[in-house]
Amino acid sequence: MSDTPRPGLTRRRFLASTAVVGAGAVIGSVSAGVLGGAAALAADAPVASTPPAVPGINLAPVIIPFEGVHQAGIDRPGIAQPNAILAAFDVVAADRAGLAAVFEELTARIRDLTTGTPPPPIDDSYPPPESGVLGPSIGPASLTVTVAVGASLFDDRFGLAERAPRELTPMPRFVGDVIDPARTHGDLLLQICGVDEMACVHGLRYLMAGTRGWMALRWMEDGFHRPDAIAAEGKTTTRNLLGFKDGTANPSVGGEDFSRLVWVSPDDGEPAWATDGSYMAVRLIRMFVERWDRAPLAEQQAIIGRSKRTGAPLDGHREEDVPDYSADQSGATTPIDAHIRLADPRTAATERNRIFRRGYSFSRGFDGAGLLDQGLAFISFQRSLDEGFTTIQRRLDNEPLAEYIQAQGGGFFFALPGVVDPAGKLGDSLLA
Amino acid sequence: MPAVSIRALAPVLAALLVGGTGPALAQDAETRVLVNLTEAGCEPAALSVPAGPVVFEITNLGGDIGEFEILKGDFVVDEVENMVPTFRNNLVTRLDGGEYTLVCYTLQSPRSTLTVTGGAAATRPPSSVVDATTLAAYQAEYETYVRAQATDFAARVATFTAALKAGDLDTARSLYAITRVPWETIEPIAELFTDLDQAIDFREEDYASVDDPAWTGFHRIERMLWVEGASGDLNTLADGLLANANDLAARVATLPVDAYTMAQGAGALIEEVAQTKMTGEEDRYSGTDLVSITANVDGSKHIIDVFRPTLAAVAPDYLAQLDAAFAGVDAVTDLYRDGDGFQSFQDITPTDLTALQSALAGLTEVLSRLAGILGLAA
Repeated sequence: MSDTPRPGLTRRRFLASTAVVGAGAVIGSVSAGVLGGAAALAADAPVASTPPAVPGINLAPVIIPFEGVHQAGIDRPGIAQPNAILAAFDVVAADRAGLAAVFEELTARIRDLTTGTPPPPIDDSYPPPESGVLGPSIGPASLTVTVAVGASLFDDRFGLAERAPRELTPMPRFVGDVIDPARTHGDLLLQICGVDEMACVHGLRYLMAGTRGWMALRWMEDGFHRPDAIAAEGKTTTRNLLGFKDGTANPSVGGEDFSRLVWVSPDDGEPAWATDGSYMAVRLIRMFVERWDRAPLAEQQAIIGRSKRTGAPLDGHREEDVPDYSADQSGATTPIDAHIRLADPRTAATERNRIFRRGYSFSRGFDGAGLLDQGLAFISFQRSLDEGFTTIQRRLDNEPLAEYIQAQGGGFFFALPGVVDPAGKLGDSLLA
Repeated sequence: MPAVSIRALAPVLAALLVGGTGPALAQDAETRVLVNLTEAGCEPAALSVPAGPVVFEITNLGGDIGEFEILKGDFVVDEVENMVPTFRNNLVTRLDGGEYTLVCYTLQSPRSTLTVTGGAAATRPPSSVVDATTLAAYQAEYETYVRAQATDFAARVATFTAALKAGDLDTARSLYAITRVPWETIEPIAELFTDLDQAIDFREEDYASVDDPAWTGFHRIERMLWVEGASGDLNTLADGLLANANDLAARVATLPVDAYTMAQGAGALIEEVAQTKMTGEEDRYSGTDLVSITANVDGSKHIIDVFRPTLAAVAPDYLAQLDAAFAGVDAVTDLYRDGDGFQSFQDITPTDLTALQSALAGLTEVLSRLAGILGLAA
């Protein structure tokens, strides 16, 4: 009943079992940027780091270090874990000190979760320190918790108005949106990702148990996807619930353009604390999947701009082929208003608008009309909201795909910079 | 209606706490007993076990859903419900010496006797933090409080029902919320008497329809006063409520309350609020929920005040956390005080409601450690 968790033992056992699978189970090598954090972990724990030096990933659970220049859950692990929970909160802490306490508690609990080392039980007359849904030892679950803040955190409650990221506003309404206020915005967003739903649920409960008095749930979304088995430039096997590949044109994690497109840099005119953070756009997009499934394949492909089967652009043969719209000015091959053509016109001028998408599908049962309530929790990370998501979304106004989808919630957030110092806390630079 | 399972508290309440002299619980050998539920009642028809931990290995041999209850007088010590035919289940409980009655299969089935040999102390683990004399004093202080609240409750119900019977419905409406206050302050204790809880405090959704004649008590009357208008049933309902309130006071007068139940009760009062009263569903017709909510909070505070000397000595940081958490709740509810009472639940702004929900949720987390801090085990 009161077994003391022995995470070390479990990790050793795990390592032994993955050794059979091969070196691929341990993602990449530990780069200099996260050495400090990784060194703080149990020496025998399998550790994944960023970026993957060698393409190739095994979905066996590992420890994704919390510490890093950038938060985990964006480019670490290199391929997004299969499950996620998005949980947006209103912070009800009374003042700046209360907000600092929230970040301190969150940081401590995220470290507990990612290293698999919650405090030991005291005795049976106390509630156990964690829910136990993962068993007596929580072990590595490739769990990442990414903490992002919304524009509302920078109102007058915490004296942070002067420190707001330059472009962080409440998510505006875009053409076609039918926004449910109960599923939109928030002071603080947790993106919890892991190898399975249990790991995510466990993480959420553990994080909330320490912060319940100061953070009130505003909305939640459970997400899932089938991750790529292999990370490869310009290719993905991940499909959204429209049945199309999603993420083909993403900047490659570890590629030369990734850092330039995703992380806020010191010369961006942003508050100094925001360096190495990233703007996070979240859109809860309902997909009218039954109607979509009844649309002719040719129409589906013309709307998206890719082959449904292979993911190849309509003027190409393979998924990784780069469409050449300059040779198709009239849209004879790829319609001018095809989704991928509007989203990424592939011109020199629009290169700066590219974003890193890391979304999850959702399935929420069915609506009052008896239709499946499914869709995409679209998540994008970008160095600039204005140049990134917002510009792209404006281009998509009234695209033909709009007939089959509808944004119903989400919000604009800013993912905090990572914590490098093993004694550091999320929000240290923000609240300094 | 109990929103949070009180079952876990019941075995403790059933017994006198003599003091912390017994061996630690984990060292006690448990007794295992096979019991079959049949249409003719229990098999075997009479049982005897030594005091201490007992595991009832129960099988439902009847043709319909069955249940198993251990009764001490009217008081349900422990139970297993909703066992489908052929279903097996184990009930792990802890019994002190004395005579008990067993309900097997249905409430109407022939009942059996259970004799538990030995005293109470052997089942009771000592507190590692509070000495037995101090604990006994705390228990006595809280028992006095519970009895005073139950007596006050009966008196208020008498005034309330007199107004109902006199047809003075305006007065009855004005008395409704404050009549319930003493009940709410000791709700985890009062709800241990499941028959009275059902008769006094069950809600509309606990019945198939609002016309079910089995629905009695406060919320039935509340619905008449605010929604339906008075009818001839009010007299009967008023008489029943008063009889049940008097019955509660009489039963509580001899009910021993132990320290573990007190500690868990402090949390249960807030769990009840956080889970079932944050939607305005408790007093949905009258909108007087804030009166009930603050009474629950006061009842919880009272328990902390009883334990305060020990908490201040052994866990001052924890006590400060508790006080701050209670203050956080008060800060919101105080905004809605209106004379001696409170504004309607519907007047709470969404922002304040979120703040109140969070404050209560934070308080439940802190209170969940109380028994551990005091070294109290079931």
